[in-house]
Amino acid sequence: MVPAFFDQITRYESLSVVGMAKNVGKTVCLRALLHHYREPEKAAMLAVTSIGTDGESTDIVYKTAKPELDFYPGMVVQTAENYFFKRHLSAEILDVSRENTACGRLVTARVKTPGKLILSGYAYTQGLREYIRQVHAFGARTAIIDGALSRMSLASPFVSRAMILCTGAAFSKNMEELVRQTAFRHSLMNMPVFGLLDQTRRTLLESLKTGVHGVDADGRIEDLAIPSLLQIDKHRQKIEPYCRNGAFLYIAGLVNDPFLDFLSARKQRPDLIVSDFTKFFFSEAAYRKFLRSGSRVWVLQQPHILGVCVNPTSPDGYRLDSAELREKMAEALQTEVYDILG
Amino acid sequence: MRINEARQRISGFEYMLLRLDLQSGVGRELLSGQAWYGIGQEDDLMRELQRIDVLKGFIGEGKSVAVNKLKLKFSQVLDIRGTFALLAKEAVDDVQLFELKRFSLLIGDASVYVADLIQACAFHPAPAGFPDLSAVVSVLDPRKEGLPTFYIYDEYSVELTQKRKEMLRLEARLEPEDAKGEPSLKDEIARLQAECEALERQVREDLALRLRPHVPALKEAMERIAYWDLLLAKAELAAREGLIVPLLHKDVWKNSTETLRYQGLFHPMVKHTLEEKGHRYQSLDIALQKGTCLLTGANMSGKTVLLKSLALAQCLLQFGFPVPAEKASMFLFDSVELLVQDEQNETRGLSSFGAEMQRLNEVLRLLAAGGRLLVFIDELARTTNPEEGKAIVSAVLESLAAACCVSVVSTHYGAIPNPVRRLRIRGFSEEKNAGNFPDSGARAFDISRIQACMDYSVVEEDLHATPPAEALRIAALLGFDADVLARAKRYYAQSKQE
Repeated sequence: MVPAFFDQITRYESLSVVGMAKNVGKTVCLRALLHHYREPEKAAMLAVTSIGTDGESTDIVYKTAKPELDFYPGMVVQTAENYFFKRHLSAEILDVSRENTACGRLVTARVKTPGKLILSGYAYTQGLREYIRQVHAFGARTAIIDGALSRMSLASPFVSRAMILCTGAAFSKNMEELVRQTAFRHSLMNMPVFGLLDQTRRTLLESLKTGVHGVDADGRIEDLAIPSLLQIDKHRQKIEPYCRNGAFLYIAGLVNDPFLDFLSARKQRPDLIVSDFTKFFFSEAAYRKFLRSGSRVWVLQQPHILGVCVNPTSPDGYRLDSAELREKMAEALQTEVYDILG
Repeated sequence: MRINEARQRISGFEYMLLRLDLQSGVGRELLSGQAWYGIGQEDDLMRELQRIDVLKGFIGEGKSVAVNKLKLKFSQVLDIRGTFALLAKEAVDDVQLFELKRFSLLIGDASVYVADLIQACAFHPAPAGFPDLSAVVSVLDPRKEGLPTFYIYDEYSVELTQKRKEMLRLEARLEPEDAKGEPSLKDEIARLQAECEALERQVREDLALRLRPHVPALKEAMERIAYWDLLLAKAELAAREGLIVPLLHKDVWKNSTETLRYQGLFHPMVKHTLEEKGHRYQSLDIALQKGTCLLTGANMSGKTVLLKSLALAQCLLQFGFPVPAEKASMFLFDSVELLVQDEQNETRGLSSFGAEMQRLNEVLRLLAAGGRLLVFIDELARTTNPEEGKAIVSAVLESLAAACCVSVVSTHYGAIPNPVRRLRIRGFSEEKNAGNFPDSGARAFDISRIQACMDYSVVEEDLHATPPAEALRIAALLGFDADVLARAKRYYAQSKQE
């Protein structure tokens, strides 16, 4: 069935569609979304691109072809020159990028007759921001990004605020496990936003790209001169002043298990601030242990998850019960869950 | 002389090229292929220089808005000469048609700005503007929208229009569930899609036929972009750096006594470096006659910079640039040869002396072959013993005096017997020092102290003057080790007595 949230996406200037594993129905979801907007005046509100593939045209894991999607007149699309030449639709070229990707320059075009096209756009944050800016200038209201699992960092809420999450039997064939794992990931994406800082200091933190920074309850920020979490033991004494309740550490890069374990082993621990969920590279176990000690993790930016789609069928044909899965998932996530094909 | 050779050999030339604010790839390409204006091409060179001068004046009047508008257009130009070449032979794809349209629209805008500029500047004669590409635009813009977008418009084919309409009609009947069902409708749409693609191919063929006659105009437009981009960049450089157009003499090699004459000659790179550090830069007046002359001056008096400035000015001129001076009177050479001690010898596997002799040999061979050269040799044969060194200097001076060249050889050696003109850089001035700095006792090695006391102007010396011996004095002022200096003074006094 068509998810109710499909009608809400145009409230957001950008939207990522993200799958929790390969073959969880992301393409099915996107295809349904585009079809839902096929009327010309609705179609004109959407722009679509996909995270670049760096040249591979087939899915490495399952050897399935990179999906062709159906587009409708009025939609703006952005894809690499090589794919644009193989299109099965007419489209008015609006721009050709200067920079080259592995599949040629990027063509931005407005669909004129309905048909199929393979998308492969920018594969880095700045490029995606440029895509969003550009398609808005061409009149699109919502810039959709078809996400890539291998490039989760590009689903950052700093690039696109709204998100559709796809999950399914391809992720796990055990329903309990699938629901539990999805709920965990979902909870990470919904990590609370750190609200103690004024806008200036927030912007300052957001601009930091590396290192560990101490933040005290008054919002003072101190660079602890720790280049990487890999050498955390060497810099133990620099962190020590912040190992107390009510203090915060801002981690500009990724957070991993050893670092969480390092903090969990302290008698008193600070709360952690991380830019967004794409920086979480820790396991559920390490995270739970960290929580048990009474500390929390905050983010600077949280995505707005519009909805969750499940695909009860795994790529090898195993099928979970759709209704039961939706019900359990909805209960665990406290949100509406849809099976597009169900 | 090739521009790449000059970039490596003439100090400060690469620096000037890097300061050109070029906007387009084709402009940069034109620069890297810039030819040497040789003897006999004075009129061509002067025509270009005067255009630069007119534009420089225009920019200087604060009317840079028009120039900036044009530069913005140039920055948007992509090098699509590959597409022109392809179009001359076969049909091109939609992306290439899009590029052709965008380019032609851009040329349309740029040509208006250039026409304004030509009108506002009193060029004499004016450079050519852009060719008219409105015919290309009208082929690629059947709807007369004037927008830089493109597709195979309905206007190109009635049949295509009908098929597209039919396809849209069928598509509208397709329900979501039909993603799988009703194969006949889907098949029909697929058939129409294939027919549309075939018709679009036909349109592309037709478009190529209609556009092909305009390929020469497109190519010319690209060449004009490169030309104007470089012209504007040179004019801006001239305005920014204070470059001027010299008086240029012709036919000087047949019995005339013209001289190379500069007032306020400077070396932009050295000037910038000094001024950034808060030091003063002294520009120079100098005149050089045909034949050769010997240049002397104390250490740190700027002999090398003078030679480099002279070489740079000539090199800039002959690659079509105004020169760094307040006023200049010049003429053209077959090439400029600058021999200064550089650090590249080791990589070539030669000692400094070996490298110097090799370069000198090249120059002598060019002269023997009848080349009319401008030659600067800095501290000739300084890396060998003074007796033999002097002999080499004398011999080289003798052969340069007889050759068809203007040349300067700098040296510290005294008692060179050749009857050649002698120039000296005034150098260290006791009046300027005026007791400011004692001889020794400086705590740190301080170059700025010397800088303040130097007079860099050039004076004529009589034939028997010996080069100044100020090395010890200057070492002292620099704050050189007092103990070692005292010993050096003793040794020097001893040798004088002997």
